[in-house]
Amino acid sequence: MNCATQLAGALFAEGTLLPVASLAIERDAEGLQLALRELFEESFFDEAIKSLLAKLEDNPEERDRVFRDRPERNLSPGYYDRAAYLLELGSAIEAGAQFTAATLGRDDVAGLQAMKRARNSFEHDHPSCPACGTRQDNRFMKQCKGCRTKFAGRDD
Amino acid sequence: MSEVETAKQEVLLDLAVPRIIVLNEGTRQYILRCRRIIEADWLAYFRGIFVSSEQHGRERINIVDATSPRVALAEAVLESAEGYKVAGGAELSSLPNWRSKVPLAHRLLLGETLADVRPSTSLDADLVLEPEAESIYLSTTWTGEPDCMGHWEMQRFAGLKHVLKTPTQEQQTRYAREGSRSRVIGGSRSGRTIYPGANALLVRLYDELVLSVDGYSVAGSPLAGREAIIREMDTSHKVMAAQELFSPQMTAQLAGGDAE
Repeated sequence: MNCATQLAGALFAEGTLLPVASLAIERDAEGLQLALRELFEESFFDEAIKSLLAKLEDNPEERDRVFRDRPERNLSPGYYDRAAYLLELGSAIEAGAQFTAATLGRDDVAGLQAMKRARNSFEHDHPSCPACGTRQDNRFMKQCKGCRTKFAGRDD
Repeated sequence: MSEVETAKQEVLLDLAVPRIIVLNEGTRQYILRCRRIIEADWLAYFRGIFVSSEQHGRERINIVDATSPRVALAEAVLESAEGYKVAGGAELSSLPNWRSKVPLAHRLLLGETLADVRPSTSLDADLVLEPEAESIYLSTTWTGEPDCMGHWEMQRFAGLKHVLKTPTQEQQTRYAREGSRSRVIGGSRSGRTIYPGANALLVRLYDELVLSVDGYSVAGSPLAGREAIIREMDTSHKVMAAQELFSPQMTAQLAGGDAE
């Protein structure tokens, strides 16, 4: 965690009167990168189980079991709210929305950079098939889980 | 508290009248007269609302607590209180720090009533859509009036219309940026997120976007014209209308104030 962004707040936690450290989430680039990475994993998992859940419509127990395998969130909720904002901002920029230096703050730029790092790391761990574009469960798979194309250099 | 639903066409909500809140408790009736609530009062109220969230495994626990700011708002604007008897026959208002002598439950109910504004539906026969704008409807409990028998009742207004320009991408982004600002206490992993809220920004956005309103008046004249609306409109109505425009799912939190 970036210690420079840790501020001693006079917030009273759990009924105590002791000052507690508080951290501005929008300035915690490392935490945001982790949250974004988790959101990418969640979205990948949700996409992967979509067809499975459709098949399990009449089997609520099995559906619950599948949901239990969903990756857990590890950070305080504010990180995911800010991450969702950054995803929306990134998508607006990709769609061609114009932002000036006056409308895009330093925190936004740092957040977008954290998003880029999170995406790179996610794509490194889940490379897409060069033939059909399906993203793989990990980078050690020998065959595409979508089109069954064999990946060069990964044979036993 | 008994209320009379006021049809939009019959009576306009007069923003300039002092608000009189009537509390009924059994056969007793208390009349609480308040001064006009200005923007600074409302911003202090919104700043005081405690919104926090914690992650417990797969469960997210949100807490919204508006109790303290409701009481603070009531104490800040209360000008007189009728119906209370003080031991020894003294006047309540002659006691030092008299506002805090009003029972806490009454101060809380007063704050709750003053802040009672929520999304509503149109009272018009047809829902007319604006091509370049959006219509937001609010309802509120405003002030008490005596009936012909001298018994006070609260007036409730519904279908109060605010026509706001459709926000630009830049305005949407400003709102989303402000709304996603938060602080964490107790560490990034197991800590609690505290949300300061985006209410001050919502007031500015309302002022930028409002085109017209319907159902309001000031000192007997219907409220019209952007400048007059920006100057006269109650800040809590501005916040609620803008909130409903930008993020309708959040209005429940603003209007509410209980732990989820």
